[in-house]
Amino acid sequence: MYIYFPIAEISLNLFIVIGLGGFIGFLSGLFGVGGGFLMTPLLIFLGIPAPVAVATEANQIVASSVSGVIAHWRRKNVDFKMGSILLLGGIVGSSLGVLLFAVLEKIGQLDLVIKLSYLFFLGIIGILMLWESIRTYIRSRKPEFYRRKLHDHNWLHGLPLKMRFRRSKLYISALVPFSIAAFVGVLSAIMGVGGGFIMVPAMIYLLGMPTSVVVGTSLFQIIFVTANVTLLQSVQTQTVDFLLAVTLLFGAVIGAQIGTRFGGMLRGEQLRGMLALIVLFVCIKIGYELVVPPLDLFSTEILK
Amino acid sequence: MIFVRFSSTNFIISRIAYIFVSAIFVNLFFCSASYAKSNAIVADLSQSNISINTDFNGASLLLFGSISGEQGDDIIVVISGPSSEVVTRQKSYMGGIWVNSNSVKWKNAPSYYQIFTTKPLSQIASREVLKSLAIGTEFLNLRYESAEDFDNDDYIEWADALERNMHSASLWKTNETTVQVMRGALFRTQVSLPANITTGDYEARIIHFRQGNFIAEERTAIAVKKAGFSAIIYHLAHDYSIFYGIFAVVFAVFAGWLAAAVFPKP
Repeated sequence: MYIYFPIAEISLNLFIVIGLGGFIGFLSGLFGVGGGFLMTPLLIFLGIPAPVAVATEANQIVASSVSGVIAHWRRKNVDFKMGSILLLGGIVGSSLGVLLFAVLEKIGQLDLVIKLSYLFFLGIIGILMLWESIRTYIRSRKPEFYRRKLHDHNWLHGLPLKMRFRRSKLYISALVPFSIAAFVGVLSAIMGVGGGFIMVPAMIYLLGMPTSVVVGTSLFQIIFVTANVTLLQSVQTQTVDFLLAVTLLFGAVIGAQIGTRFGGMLRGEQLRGMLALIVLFVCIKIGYELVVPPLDLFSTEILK
Repeated sequence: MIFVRFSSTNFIISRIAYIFVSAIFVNLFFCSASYAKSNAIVADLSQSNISINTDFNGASLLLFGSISGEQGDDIIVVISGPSSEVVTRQKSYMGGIWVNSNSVKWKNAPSYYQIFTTKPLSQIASREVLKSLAIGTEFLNLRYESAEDFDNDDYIEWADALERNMHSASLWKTNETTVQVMRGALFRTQVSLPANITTGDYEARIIHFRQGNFIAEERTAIAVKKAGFSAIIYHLAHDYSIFYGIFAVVFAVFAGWLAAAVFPKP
């Protein structure tokens, strides 16, 4: 059964689209990630134009983040003060990102920048995660106790506009989370992701936030960043395919429920190791396409 | 005049249409004296309005009609879609990866261009005749925007690339020997519109040849429009984009909340 997506302007098998949503939903339930960084490249592989894939995925992430944040909110694992600073940065960054997106599309380099960003960030994150999970796995075999300092003091603590974040047990300059969120916001707009896979490590390692509040706070700010991207892309490029977003969402909601139940059966480092392999696989596929000579050096696109 | 319309386009229906048209042909045959010398072409389509709704996956339609011809006459049908702005890009190897480098923007390329013929094109008429009638993508007279040092050789290379890319997208194509003519009087051909077609006004030209010479031409229109839910979404997204964006966000928030409420975390 085929369904014609009015903004993407292509006809796709309905069950493949729901299945894709379900598969990514399953992974996001299993690993506790948003899944945008897998969904957007897969949508592009399916033949959906990159601008539509990116903008539509932002729309879908709004829903998955709302659904995710509710559970964390109930457990009071959201630092709203930190989240507000992050979302301010995120809105500034993602607005810049949408502008940059339009410029890149105009000069015909959008696809390249999307692919290079994926290659770079998925590569780094994949390798770090794989390394970390292997190390944890080895360490878990010979138990060893050590105590880490809460956080290290460095030049970041010398910046002005210091604020106290009670839930995160931090007293740092608001400029640090603001700039990190702005940077991730730009990537979020260009790559069609929530940015959790960059934001979460940044919050832990750069800001030194306690891991318990990191995911909830990250999801909280992702809602606003992706809502902003959805709104701006709707107005500027008209590339949000509502029908596609709803179809993917339908699959993702069901997939996430199944994934969450499976996730409980596996150990943390096993999950991270598997996720790392998936991330590296997508990364290698994108890299391969950039390096291998294309079948036809020329490509044509109908503009209007 | 013959007017036969069918709302559906599947194969069986098209066979029925064929029989129906054949029946009309018999009538026409007996009273053909009055048409004999007028060279008139009468043409119609099984569907002249194509609706792109959410279940759209391409369309197939029957173009048929009559000519006042003789045994052995040829017909060329040219169907062209709305003139569009099209960009062709070339990749080059830079720093270890393939990157879009040069590009040519075509200002008036048809978004769809298919030719249907009774015989291979070269056997129907000479290049000069085809050129004078503007039949074939090589005679499209494309306007373009490009880098300043763009000579004729470059044009040939880029126009070739455009043709090749449009062909692989099933948009530009020459379908030789797909038009059937019966007793030099009735013709029919099956036209397929792929799922990736552009909306707008399409034109079908039916051109009649006898021994390499042009006899007559007739034109008919096909309208391709988005319809139903698909049209509503497209219209809202383009004409009320702010409300569309707000609605998309609100809907997503609601859907996310609903998902969390229906499936509580274990």
